[in-house]
Amino acid sequence: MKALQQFFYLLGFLFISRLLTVLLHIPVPSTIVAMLLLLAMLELGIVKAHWFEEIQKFLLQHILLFLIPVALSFVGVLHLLQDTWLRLLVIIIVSSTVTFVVTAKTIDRMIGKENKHVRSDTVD
Amino acid sequence: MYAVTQSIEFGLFLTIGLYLLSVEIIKRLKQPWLNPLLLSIVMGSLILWGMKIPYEDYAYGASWIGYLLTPATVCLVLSFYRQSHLFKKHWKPVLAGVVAGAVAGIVVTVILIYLLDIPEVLRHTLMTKNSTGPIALEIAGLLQRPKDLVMLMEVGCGLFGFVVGNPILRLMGIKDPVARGVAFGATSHIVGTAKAIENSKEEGAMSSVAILITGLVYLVLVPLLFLVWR
Repeated sequence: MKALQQFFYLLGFLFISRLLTVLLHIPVPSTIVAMLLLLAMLELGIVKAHWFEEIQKFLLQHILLFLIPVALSFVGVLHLLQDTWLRLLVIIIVSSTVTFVVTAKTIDRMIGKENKHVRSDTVD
Repeated sequence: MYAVTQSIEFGLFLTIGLYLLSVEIIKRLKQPWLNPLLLSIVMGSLILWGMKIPYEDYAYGASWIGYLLTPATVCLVLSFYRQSHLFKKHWKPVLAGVVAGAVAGIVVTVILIYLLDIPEVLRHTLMTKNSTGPIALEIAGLLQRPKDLVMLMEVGCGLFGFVVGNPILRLMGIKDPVARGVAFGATSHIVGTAKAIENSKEEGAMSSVAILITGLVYLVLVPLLFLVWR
């Protein structure tokens, strides 16, 4: 019963966000609006994280399952990929590597500097 | 036969069956780089392709469980919220990292699109590929692009991070959980976040917030790029 209730709250957030984006013509995906809305409500203390505990555990544990239907959609467009799949694979691998390395390195370096500042501050 | 595969039961039964079977196989083989999604895709596509079952038939039932991806994505906010002190402390490096990664990724993609002479239909799809699942779908919707290809790219980037993310981080010697988590989320989104959650609570939370930020960054960057580059 609890999980069902929690699922209902979650759907409520999604529904309200859909309503907002459609009625107000917000050019932002309603999933993002729902995420921002939930985050704002949590920060303001209007909703509590534990209200969603059970449904969150279930949905996140099996999140890869929910991707299978869309992941298999390429079977429907195989004709489009016949001559290009290798090139697409190259692009995915190269651009993902670049994004991954640049993101990790940038943050690691900046946090390293932050920590150094903190340390020298305490020395002074 | 058609009446069977065109039922709701068929897609649902096959999807959950593939997943449970994959999880079981991975448990027995003890291979951490193997991923239930990857195994399910391989087995599932062989079944659909081998039995000549149209994707639409399968999707009719499968989309029932596929919808849960959207509420699951929203749930990522909750795991982030529990660790939000990490983000509040390091929001500048996180934002800088996501933007730098997104810009670098887009630049490389554009260069490769030209070098490899990618057909027109696929170009725009490739541009949206680095923003997240349901979000990429909606960007595709907003821009009126084919959605199945967007998801294919999304899953490709996801599996990439899941399989080689940890080895790359080890090679680079990056131990900071914020840098590690955000890299997973920014590059490999939901599938990458599954790996980050496996690594640690902190990484999972940072990966989750990276998905949200990456989604927002792409939302601004991609349509902008479309205006400039048609």
